[in-house]
Amino acid sequence: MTARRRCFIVARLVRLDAKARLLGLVATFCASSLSWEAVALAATAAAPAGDVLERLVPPVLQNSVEVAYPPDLASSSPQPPAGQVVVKYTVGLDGVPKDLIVETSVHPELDALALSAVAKLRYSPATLDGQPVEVISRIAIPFTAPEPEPEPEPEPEPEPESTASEAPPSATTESSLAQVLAAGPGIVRLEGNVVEMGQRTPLDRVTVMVVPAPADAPTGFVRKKDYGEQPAPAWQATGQTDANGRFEIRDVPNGKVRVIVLLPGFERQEYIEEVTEGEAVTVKYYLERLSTNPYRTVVRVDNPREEVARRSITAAEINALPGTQGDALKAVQNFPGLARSPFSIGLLLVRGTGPNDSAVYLAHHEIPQLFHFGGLTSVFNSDILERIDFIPGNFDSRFGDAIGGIIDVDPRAGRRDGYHGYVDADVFDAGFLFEGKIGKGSFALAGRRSYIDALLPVVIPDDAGLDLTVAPRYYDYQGLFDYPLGGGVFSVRAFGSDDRTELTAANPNEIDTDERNQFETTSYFHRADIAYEKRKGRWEFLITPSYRYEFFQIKAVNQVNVDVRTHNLTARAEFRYHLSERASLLVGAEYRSFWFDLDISTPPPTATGGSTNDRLRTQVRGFNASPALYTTLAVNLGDTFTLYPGARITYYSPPYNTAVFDPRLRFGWQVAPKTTIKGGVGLYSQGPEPVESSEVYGNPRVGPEQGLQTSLGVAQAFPFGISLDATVFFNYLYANVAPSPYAIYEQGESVPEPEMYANTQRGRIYGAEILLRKEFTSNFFGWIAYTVSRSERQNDRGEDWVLFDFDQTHILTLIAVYRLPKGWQVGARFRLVSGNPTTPMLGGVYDASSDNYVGVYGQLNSRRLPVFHQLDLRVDKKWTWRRVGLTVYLDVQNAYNAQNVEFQNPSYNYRQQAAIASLPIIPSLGVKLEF
Amino acid sequence: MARRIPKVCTVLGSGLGSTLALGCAQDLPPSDLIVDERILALRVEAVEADADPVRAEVLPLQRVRIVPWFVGLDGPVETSVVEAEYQPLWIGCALPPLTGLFSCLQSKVPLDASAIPVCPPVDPSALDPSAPLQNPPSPCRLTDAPAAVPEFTVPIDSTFFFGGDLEVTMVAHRPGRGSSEDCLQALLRQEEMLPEECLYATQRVPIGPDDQLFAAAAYVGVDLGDPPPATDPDTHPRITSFAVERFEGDTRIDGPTYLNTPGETVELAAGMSLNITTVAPETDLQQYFTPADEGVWDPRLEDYSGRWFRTWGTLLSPVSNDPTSYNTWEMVPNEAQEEPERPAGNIATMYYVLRDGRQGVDWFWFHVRITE
Repeated sequence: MTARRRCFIVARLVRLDAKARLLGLVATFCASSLSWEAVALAATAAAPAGDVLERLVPPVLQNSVEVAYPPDLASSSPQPPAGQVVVKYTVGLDGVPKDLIVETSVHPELDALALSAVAKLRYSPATLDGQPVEVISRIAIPFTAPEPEPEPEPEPEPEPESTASEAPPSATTESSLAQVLAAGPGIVRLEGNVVEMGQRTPLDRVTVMVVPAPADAPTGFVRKKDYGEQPAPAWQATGQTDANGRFEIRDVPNGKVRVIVLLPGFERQEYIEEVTEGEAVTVKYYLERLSTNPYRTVVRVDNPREEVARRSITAAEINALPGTQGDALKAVQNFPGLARSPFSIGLLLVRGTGPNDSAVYLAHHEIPQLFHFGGLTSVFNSDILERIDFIPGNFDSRFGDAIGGIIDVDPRAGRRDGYHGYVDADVFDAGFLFEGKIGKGSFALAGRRSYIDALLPVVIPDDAGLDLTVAPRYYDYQGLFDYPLGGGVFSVRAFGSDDRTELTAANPNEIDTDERNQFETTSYFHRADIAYEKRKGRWEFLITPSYRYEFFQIKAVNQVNVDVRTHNLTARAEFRYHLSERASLLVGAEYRSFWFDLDISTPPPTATGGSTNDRLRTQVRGFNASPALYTTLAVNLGDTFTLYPGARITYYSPPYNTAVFDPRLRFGWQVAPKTTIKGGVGLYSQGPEPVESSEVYGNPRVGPEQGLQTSLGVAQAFPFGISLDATVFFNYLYANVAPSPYAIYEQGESVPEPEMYANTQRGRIYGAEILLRKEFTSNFFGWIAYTVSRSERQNDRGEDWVLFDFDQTHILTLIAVYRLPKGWQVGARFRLVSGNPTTPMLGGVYDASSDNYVGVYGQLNSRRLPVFHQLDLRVDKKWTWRRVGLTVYLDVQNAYNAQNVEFQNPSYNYRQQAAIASLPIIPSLGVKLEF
Repeated sequence: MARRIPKVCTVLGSGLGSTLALGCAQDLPPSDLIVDERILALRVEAVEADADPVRAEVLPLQRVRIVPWFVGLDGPVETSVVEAEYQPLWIGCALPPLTGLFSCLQSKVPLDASAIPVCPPVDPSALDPSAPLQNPPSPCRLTDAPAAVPEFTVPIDSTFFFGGDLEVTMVAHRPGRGSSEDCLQALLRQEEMLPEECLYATQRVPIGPDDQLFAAAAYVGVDLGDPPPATDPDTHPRITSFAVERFEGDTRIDGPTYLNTPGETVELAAGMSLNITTVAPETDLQQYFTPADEGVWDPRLEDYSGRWFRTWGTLLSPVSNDPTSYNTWEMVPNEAQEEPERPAGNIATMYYVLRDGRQGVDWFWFHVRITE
């Protein structure tokens, strides 16, 4: 992506008549920061993220302002202050600059003049997709002190004949820079490149200032900087790097010069160079970024998909959060609205719903498996994710088949600014990432593999009777390719994951082992997508098909044999048309289907847990599909109120053979410049689980589950990147599938059959969420997340309402991360959560058929486990050299080894129980080498 | 549309992560240590003269008895003592197919014990194939008084024809403490912890074999379609051999000595160990069929499952699963259970229960007198 360069010259360069004392000065309003930063715009400095800026129409200046150098200041000293005052400001929706801040100061009086001048500028506002947006800009206003009135010139003496070639004038003469400039066309005296240290990425818009330096100053990097008040330099030359990081400085006199290299977000650097006669000095400077991560994604986009509570997390935050090992999906679990997952296994428990009630979308298609082995680490590399949005409810109509919440993950394109990547390793696994450009496009390759399989055999004692035929091991891989094509972007993505383990647990008195001693599980998927997105005029469209192959197998002690293979074909096509500046319409279709091949032999699921000699066996192949149509209209009613009516129709193929209609409505109301009220109401539906609708294991007559979701929230932005988000919600689930104790007569049958499951369960969930957040700017980020809620279920009418299994009344999460000098960073996370509901144990009945006991319990979920509390700590240290960067981190989960109770383990006869504690203190050391 | 078969994945995946946690529950009593009166088996026997092997599966209208095996620190409890001091009550309930044992009675909770009637007598002559089948009350009391070994006629219940069985629940009390009626009431209310003095056990009385059951159903006017392949009724396995060898360290002192009758006493010095070998014929393992899809029947073979219990000492393993199984019993106190240096009266008892994967069961026991 190239920055646009436009320079609005609004005044003239005026040179004083030498006899005039007053001077007019030039305000050359050159919009030097020419890649406009839109508030809420997804842009990356080093990793261009799509063509957002291509859709942005910058503001257009409508007037001009002149600034005069204050006479008092000019006469206040022999060397009046001079230089460039850099002002940062926001062009508001009304085209009026606001939030003016002096970024580079020269003199208070000059600063004030600059601020006053910028405040008087008027623009036509910037637009993004036809919608007015605020943009942040910077402007450098040079102030040059007027030349003093010259003394009367003496009679000129005849000049000796010069034999030397005309040399560039030297600044040591009494001539002014203006005279030097008047000598002729500028000659390049200093040229070079500025790149980012550790990344070797060219940096544009870097200000390079050249001022005189003492003749005895040593050349090279200036380590000791004197930030005290300095006299104004006799002269100053300024340049700026282009998109390739290249700059040229002309008309610099011979001799020692101080080069000052400046770019917001990077460490200021100074060098002493020596400019010699007849030569141009060529240099290369490496600027060190002040933030620790080269990828910057910035907040939410105020787009027609804006949900009541869409919470995003940036890559920098993901990598800094304690207790998550840089895993994006685990990081999301710190948001309000998500219940704590037992043993940190990564269950998605959104607003009082179950782990299978929410969906995770990756690149517009759902992914089946989030974590390896149920929760160790996520299956997709977090460093190639552009954005992760967590939507706990009232999500847009483009998402379906979920009655909980949505996690929407977008992979980013590979970087085009050279070849980059890293290798990393921690206690559990090692991974790599490599990315770069291909022609006009880019690629990214990543992979990860565990080495638990190498460690476990060493740790497990020989006499444990455990033979790890295949020790638990996992791997995953991702390959992304993006290429601009026909005005849009063509993408190809392939990724997959594989988890396996096989063990034999022999009794000490066994001579031979067989399948009765064996446990084996294999789970993998491979997926390939293509996608094409394009925006043209008022139209935007997206089309993306995807194929996924899944395999899941489990064999357990000759009792359970499950073999499931599915071929999944999904596709999505969307069109958005901007009807006007105030309205846009999204229409889309999503097609989901799978062919399945099942071979399952298991005992039937039994409610009480007592033994059964029955076995269920099914070998079946089939096909299932659920196409859906959806639409959302975004319409601005006035300047501050936006309505989003939408609907989704989903058809579920046989055995369900039913269609559901889900109308949805959301609104956003900007009641003040930084205050927005949002709300939503809608219906949401989800198909039953395969086992619930199975001919053999379930009830093929069960239908989709449905729920009503309502929420109302307010979002308030404060200065310094602080925001407050508060939401109240009420969800009502009806037609949920629950086990049925009844027997029913099929039509035409005289023999009743167990119903197994029925759509009789209802749920009610209500609560409030608060998120007070400080964005990752300067040195600190963190947030306070609090949820208070209640989630209940009623299996059938007339039965009691009982607490949901994962109901957690209070969930408090405190996160703080602070960036220290010299590449250090420390962070902490503290969680305080209500204990999960538990059912009291009353005793046991001996099952003589199987020599086990059947537990007898009291009222379901009538008690709670103790409160959960845990502190996680993390410390990072980063070294950045010119071409590589090295990060070492120590992540300590459960720093004070709290013995939180996850569940109560009963004795064999259910007369006693022992608490099973959560994970103990776990330190994890990681290393990452980036280039 | 569902996403996957996630619950199994999630549970097993999380189970992988929490397996170590589960294995660390060291404070709970082990199941193989006998510290008090316990029931180790309930054996269902078809009442037949001179039956060998004894049937463990019965058809409606046939006579059946339930033989409980109560054990204690000194050995099995005599039948007369069971009846007089434990006073077991027996509750029958028609268990639907594809449901776990005890779920029939559990589904009736809360229930008042006085509301459970005595099962009516079964009169085969009153059956009229042309009239609708009348199911007996469920649950009902199989005997009108406490009985150590109840014997009754299996009723005709439509549940049996659709794959269900008879669930039998025994409720008793420890000698001199409480009453069986109070224990039954506590079980049917489930408002508080079940009393310590109460003993509860449940057993499935399998109704079959299926091919003969289909014929019985047809007799009473219920058409179940094509019957499964004919099979022999489920029978009890037989422990045919129990032998011990004395060891001192790795040195065999003597043996094998065959224990021909249960209850024999072996003398062994403290610190020595017994290597035990038990045999049950592989030919006693029967083939049977379970229903699969679309009228297909899946053949399966029974499997031995042995459980070892002791009142004192250290066992190599509490389980075994082969026709010829082995174990080692050391005459040293089990430190994990903080056992005393010697058992009471210097007599330790071992109990062994063999199951065949269905309802067949057999047992054996013997004593060890610890000498110096």
